[in-house]
Amino acid sequence: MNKKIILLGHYGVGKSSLVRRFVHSQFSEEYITTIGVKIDKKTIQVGDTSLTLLIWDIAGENGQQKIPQSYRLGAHGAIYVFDLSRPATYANLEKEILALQELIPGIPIQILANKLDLSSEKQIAEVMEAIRPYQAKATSAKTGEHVDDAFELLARKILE
Amino acid sequence: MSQRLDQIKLQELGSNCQVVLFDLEGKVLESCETLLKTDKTVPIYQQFDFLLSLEEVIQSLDEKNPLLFDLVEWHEQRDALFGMKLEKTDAHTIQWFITDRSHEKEQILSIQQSRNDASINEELLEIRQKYLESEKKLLSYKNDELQRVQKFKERFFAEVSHEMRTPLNSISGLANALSQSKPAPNAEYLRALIATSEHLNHIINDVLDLSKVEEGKLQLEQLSFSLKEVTDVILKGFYMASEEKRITLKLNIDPAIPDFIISDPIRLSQVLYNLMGNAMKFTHKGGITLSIKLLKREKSNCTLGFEIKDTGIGMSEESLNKILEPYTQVEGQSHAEYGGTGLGMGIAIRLIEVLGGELKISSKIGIGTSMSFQLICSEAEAPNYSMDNSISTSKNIDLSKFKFLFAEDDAMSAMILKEHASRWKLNSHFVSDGKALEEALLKESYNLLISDLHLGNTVSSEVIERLRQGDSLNKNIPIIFISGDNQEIHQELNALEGWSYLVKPVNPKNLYLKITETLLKESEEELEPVDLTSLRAATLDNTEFLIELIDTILEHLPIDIAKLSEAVASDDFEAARKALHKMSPSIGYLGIDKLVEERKKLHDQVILQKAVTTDLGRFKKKINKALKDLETQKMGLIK
Repeated sequence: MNKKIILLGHYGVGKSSLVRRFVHSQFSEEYITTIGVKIDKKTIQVGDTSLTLLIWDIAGENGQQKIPQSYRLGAHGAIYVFDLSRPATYANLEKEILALQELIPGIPIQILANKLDLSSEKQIAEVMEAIRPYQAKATSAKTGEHVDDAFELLARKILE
Repeated sequence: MSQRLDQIKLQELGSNCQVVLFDLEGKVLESCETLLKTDKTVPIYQQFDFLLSLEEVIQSLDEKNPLLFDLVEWHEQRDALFGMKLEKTDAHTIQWFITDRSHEKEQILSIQQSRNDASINEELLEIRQKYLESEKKLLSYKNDELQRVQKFKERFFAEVSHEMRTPLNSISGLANALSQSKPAPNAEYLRALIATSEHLNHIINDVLDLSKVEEGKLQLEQLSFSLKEVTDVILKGFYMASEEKRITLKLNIDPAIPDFIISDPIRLSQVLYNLMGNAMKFTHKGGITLSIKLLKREKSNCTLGFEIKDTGIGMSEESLNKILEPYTQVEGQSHAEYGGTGLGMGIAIRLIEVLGGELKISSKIGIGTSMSFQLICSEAEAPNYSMDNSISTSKNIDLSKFKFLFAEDDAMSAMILKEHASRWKLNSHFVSDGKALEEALLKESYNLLISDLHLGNTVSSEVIERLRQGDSLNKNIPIIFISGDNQEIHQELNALEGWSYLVKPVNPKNLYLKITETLLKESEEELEPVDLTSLRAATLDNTEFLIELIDTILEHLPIDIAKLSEAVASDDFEAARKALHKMSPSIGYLGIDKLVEERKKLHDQVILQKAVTTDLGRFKKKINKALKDLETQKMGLIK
């Protein structure tokens, strides 16, 4: 079974690093911006189902309205990534998620708070409080912490 | 367009694009294979992940709405940057148009990377800015908090000092009174009582002074006193302890040191008392020597070298550094064993700094410690301060011819003052509240008022302010204010003239010296009559013109004096200088040398921006007297 998932969020939040970690188990400190969209895939096992995730890593923008609609079409799930250490990347989270839900209604959206390795527990707790009522999964593309879980979680939601 | 041009376009662009036609099931119908290879036997969705992820979308594609993908980072079969268009050309056919934009990749990457980096940097700057703002707010909050604590501390110290000093005044006074009563009380108990009250007084002064030094508010007195008398009294305070410890106590004073010097005897005593106390604490054999040497003398200025040397337990270098910190006792020297507030050395060091010196300590463990400092002072002819409580009747002034008014609401303090007044044979009247003070001042003429600053709910300075503004009997009465507060707390006194100040507990001898000093000043102010010689010469003995000129002086001099008072009260030195300059001819015409000198002295002082409040009070009194005399002489001329 194939499912298209799209990765969205501001530039520099670590979307490509998350995909690289998830698909290739690699990480690089170097920041290279994504141009347009980059497609990767990984097959995972969700329960009895073998699921191929076709991951569309869409170039980051500081507003989702700048991304052409064609990139989002046909997505079965979305991952919205923000950077725990950059308030600007989650300041308008509610607006961004609502806009996304309007553009592709009914798909599950997993919010990831990335760069867990750069933040203290106190900072993380403060951010989580700030984005309420939304809930995010804290991840680190650098250490790999919770990355697989996050993709699998979305996959489960898609299958539901 | 000609076929030739189409041919050229095809040659230039053809190698950069590919067209693939496939049906809705993904079967490849046609492909030019320029960029990507396709397999007609396998559905195209199975060949490219890009198309696989769009399979559902492609199958429901609308003929009028092609799908556009400007930039796709491509990694299937080859790495490239493609632009793509998927268009439904008829009911069954999809046209996939691919443009190779790889040649633009570096440029796009560079532009996008710069934009993103700049934007991220901007965000980081914003975060830093917000952090700095928060830091600033926090600092401002901390600053407010510190100020609040400081104010609280100031108020607390002021209130505590006032509260503590009043009963302490009573203890000291009673002990002194008791020492002179007959039959003589038990001398040992009495010494202990006096020593205890003095010790308590020292602790209170240490606490208050350290607070004042820290705030930079400590003001030094400039009093003339006998250095020998001061050091004798300090050493006497340690005799008992030295006898108990069986250690020697020596005082070496250089005979070349003048009999009387001008400095702050109270602070100097505190320094010596604390340094001696410290030496005493840590010396268990041998002895302590206080040596004072005249190091330099230039005209009336002397540089004195003080050294306290002991054969005590000594200190390590680390302990030497620690001793400079207030509130700390040297390590290994427990409070239980050695006692003390831990303030003594700290306050001594800071007081020496305020006095213009620097404490130097050298020490060797097991051998002893030497503490030394230098002090610059000037020579004086006679003392105006004494630490000795014994009072010999002044030869210069007969106190019995003056009338004294005492105002004190604290029964114990009043009792002590009554005891002093009786012993000094003063013609005195006592009141205990503000109303009685006001009534007494309006009813009868007095030569001197000695008043507690707080009389129940009345502040006596307010009574005096009203008195000075009116025209009553005691309008110009000199005053000695007594208070448990330090003088600098009462800034309102600056608006008053003709007063001095003593802080409780009041040493009886200092009160006596203050009384005699005030009365001597008053008697010195007796003025010679106005001499009309200059005025007569100026008017060529024309009586009519002379009277006219006198009228001018009588009219204008009080105005100039009022302007001067106003300027001094508002610290406007320039206006004060102008007023003093303007009144110069009028004062000259009065023919009283003393007034001419005093005007000049005041003029010099305001040029140097020095406070003249006390001198101004006396000056005004003299001017008023001279003007009254001038008025009388004018009446004589008219007759």
